[in-house]
Amino acid sequence: MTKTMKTASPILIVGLVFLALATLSLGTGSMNIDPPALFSALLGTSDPGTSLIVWSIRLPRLVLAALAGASLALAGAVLQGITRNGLADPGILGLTAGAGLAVTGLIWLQSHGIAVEPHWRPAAAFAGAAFAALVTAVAAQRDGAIAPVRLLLAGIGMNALIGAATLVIAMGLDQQLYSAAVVWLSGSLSGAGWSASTTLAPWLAILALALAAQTRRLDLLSLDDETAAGRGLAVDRCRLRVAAIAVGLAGAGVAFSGGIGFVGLVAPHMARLMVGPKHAVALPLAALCGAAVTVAADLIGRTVFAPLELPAGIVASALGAPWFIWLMWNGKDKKG
Amino acid sequence: MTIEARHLHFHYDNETVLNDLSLSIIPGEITALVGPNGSGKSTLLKALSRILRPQSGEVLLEGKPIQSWSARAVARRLALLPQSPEAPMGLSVRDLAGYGRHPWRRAFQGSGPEDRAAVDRALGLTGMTSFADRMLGSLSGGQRQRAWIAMALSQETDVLMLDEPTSFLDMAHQVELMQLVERLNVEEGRTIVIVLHDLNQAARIAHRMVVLNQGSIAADGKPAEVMTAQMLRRVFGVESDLISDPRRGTPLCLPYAAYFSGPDLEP
Repeated sequence: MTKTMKTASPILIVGLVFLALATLSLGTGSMNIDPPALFSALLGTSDPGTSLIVWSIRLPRLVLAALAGASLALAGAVLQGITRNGLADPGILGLTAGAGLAVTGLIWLQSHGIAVEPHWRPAAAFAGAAFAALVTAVAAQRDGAIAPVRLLLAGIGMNALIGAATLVIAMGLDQQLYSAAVVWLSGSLSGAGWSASTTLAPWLAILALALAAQTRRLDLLSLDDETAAGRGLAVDRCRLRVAAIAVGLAGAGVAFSGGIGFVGLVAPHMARLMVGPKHAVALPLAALCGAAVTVAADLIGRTVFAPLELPAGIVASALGAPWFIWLMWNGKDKKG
Repeated sequence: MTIEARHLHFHYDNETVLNDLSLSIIPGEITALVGPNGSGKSTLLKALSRILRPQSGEVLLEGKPIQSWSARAVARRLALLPQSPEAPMGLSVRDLAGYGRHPWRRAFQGSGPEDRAAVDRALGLTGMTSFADRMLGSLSGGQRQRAWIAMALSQETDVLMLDEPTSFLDMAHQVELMQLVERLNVEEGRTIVIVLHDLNQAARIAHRMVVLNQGSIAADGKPAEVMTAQMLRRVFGVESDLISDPRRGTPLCLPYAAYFSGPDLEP
């Protein structure tokens, strides 16, 4: 990259892209709605049928996609910063897998006559992500300090372990519950209502605010430990604190929509390519990119093969995986 | 600003790195830490700057144990530049220099006029003003090293601790860097503790040379007192001629034979 663009214009550009995607997403489906009709539906001045589609089906789904995408992108940006590795994200570090195991476990309980209401799934997903993070951190620590490379390796190990456990549990499920588990694991926004967003939004707001207070520390953490400590940073304590925020964000991100992969990996890279590595500007832009990517993945998933619907997570992976390979191939995580 | 190390002891598993080492840094001086590979120079520098905690003994900063100071409070008084610092891609020189302001700023507080002035001064001192908006990755080794020093300078500390800042630099950049270090000492009155590999470089700029060997101080004093044929034989395992620098009168060593079997030498 030659020179970082000014900060304002990338945010404006990605913001406009997001709005365009949102308009397209709200207008596209079994019944297409053109922008003027959409506008009046949003204002509540259109016919009740159109209003209903926009307000109770498409808008809650759009909002959830945006919030989940933003959460995952912020989590990924922080994890990439503190591990100093552009390949880190909630998926690689086993957080998504931990959430998936917890939800599959819940569905398994249901198949054994212990009825657990589906609305417990977000809580289980969150707890699963946090538990996986804890085990990964314990496995990675040595003498109370966590080296970034070891964290990444421990995460890869955790992923394999949890993936195998999830598979064993899922294989014991009957056909119907098995599909429910698979849909969750592949990250679907299908049937999302307002309650998901109204629960997620305050979480995201609190965690994003906590992160906003740490942007300069995150900048220092992306240097080497000694240089960061030489600038007056209590490195280990600070890394633990921001990692906890990232786990919270990742847990929130997958709690309602399931394991949407690669958004947490790709969005922070997009942001850094546009505005450089300083977190004060890269974090909000990454959140915006994550929202846009997730909305786009959901839009593609439910339109390209309509009336069949692909989960957003599958589309995101299908688009994100080649990016991931390209990143490794190009060595874009090299230091400057 | 006083910094005093008392009976420092540090070891990894079963390898002793610092062995009952005591040292008092004299304010206003350039102190050069020299010694063979693995003699404990870098470890000592890290212990003096609170980055590393010795297993026993203590470092006193202004008379108080340095571990009882907060990292931030220490960073307002001394700035450490480690041997091979790393930065993420796409960081500009000015951004990097601004990182030195961290110990002076609070959360959510933007960079104030004092911060900008300190960064500008640091860029000026290191001759990096015209490179301020360049990406770190696009610079030559010498320019990049100056950018890192600008970061340490914008911290505006009385004490500067540099770990082998000239390694990996070509000759002109080494000389340039040594000139900068002297200027920071003479014009700015900064106390400098610098780890150097090159004995002649150290002898040229240092008020005081501290020679480390196997975690202890083998010699300590003015370069003319420390740079002797006996010391070079005993510590570095070389036979050498000593002449006087025609420009400065400081000692120059010209090694002509080495003992590969020396117990404290790397192969």
